Amino acid sequence: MNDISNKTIVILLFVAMGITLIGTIATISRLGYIERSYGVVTGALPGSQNGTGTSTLTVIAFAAISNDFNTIQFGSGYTNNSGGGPCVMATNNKAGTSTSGMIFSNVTTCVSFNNSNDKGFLLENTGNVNISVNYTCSGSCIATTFIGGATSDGFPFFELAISPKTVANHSTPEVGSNDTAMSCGNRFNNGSSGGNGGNFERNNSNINQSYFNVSVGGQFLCGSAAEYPLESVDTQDAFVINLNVSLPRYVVPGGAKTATFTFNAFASG
Amino acid sequence: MKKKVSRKRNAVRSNAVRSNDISVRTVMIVLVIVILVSIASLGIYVDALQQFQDRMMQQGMLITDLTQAQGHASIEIIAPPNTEGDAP
Repeated sequence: MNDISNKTIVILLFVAMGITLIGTIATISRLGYIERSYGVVTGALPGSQNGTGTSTLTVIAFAAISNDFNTIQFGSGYTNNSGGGPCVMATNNKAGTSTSGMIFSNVTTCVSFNNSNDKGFLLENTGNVNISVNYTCSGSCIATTFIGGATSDGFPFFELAISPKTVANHSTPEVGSNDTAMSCGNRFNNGSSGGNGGNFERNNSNINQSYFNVSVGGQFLCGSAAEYPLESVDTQDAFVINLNVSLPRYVVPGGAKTATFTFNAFASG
Repeated sequence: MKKKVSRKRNAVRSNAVRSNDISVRTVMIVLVIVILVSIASLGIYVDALQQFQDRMMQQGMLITDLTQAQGHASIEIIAPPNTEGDAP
């Protein structure tokens, strides 16, 4: 077979370049066509100016969850070991020594941390079916990795506690209208041991309810794999997860630590 | 004898063709241009696709996983300004 001349190679290259350009232009214009064609869903009859017709709209059941307050920053700081006790920072009023901002049990022990954040995560059922909710955690999810340093006097702690939104008095607005009744049948995980559902307490009207340790594997917060008590009704579809970070007086400095919580919604079927 | 003459003729013809041909350097330049155009096209396409997906997301037409939500908690423990005499 004779060798192909350079002229032929150049022609082939130009053909390849043309194909590339035409392909790109065609693909981009196709994307524009899809957007123009399906960009607006109106339910109107296609191509009809007058006359009557029937449009069918089927609302399907879907499970959805949103975290309406998804960042809790304890900030950067240190402990003053001449303070009277451990540094306890909680996003609810458990410590009860401050009336605004993040609660500090010992203002003299907690130094320069962020006290502007007094809200926990706000989870809301934004779907149209009842759900159960669990969580998993990645990153620095246990006290010794989130806070660091050796434990002393039973510290550090990295814990969570759950309240209905109406009890937690969270000021962040919900996606739907704000709750007026306790969600999840007022029955949330309180961290105590028990069988399926046995670790869920009722009458959870006191915001100073039980805290329990954050863990990597997580657990159900409301409901279970078989029960879906978090209603989709707007007036009782949200709850708050408060965090409690307790530092010993002698805490070893470490880098910035982040715990990422993933909240999962489950529905029957 | 006939074969030798034929070879000579072929060589002369080949040289003549080569003298009219485009240089290897030109071929290489065009090749580089083709590669650059391909890369640019790919970049334009990926950018357009990303913009398209963003617009679709804004219009709620692309369904993402709605059954998950994330939350982040962060803290940083720093050293006190003066640690002298603070050892436990």
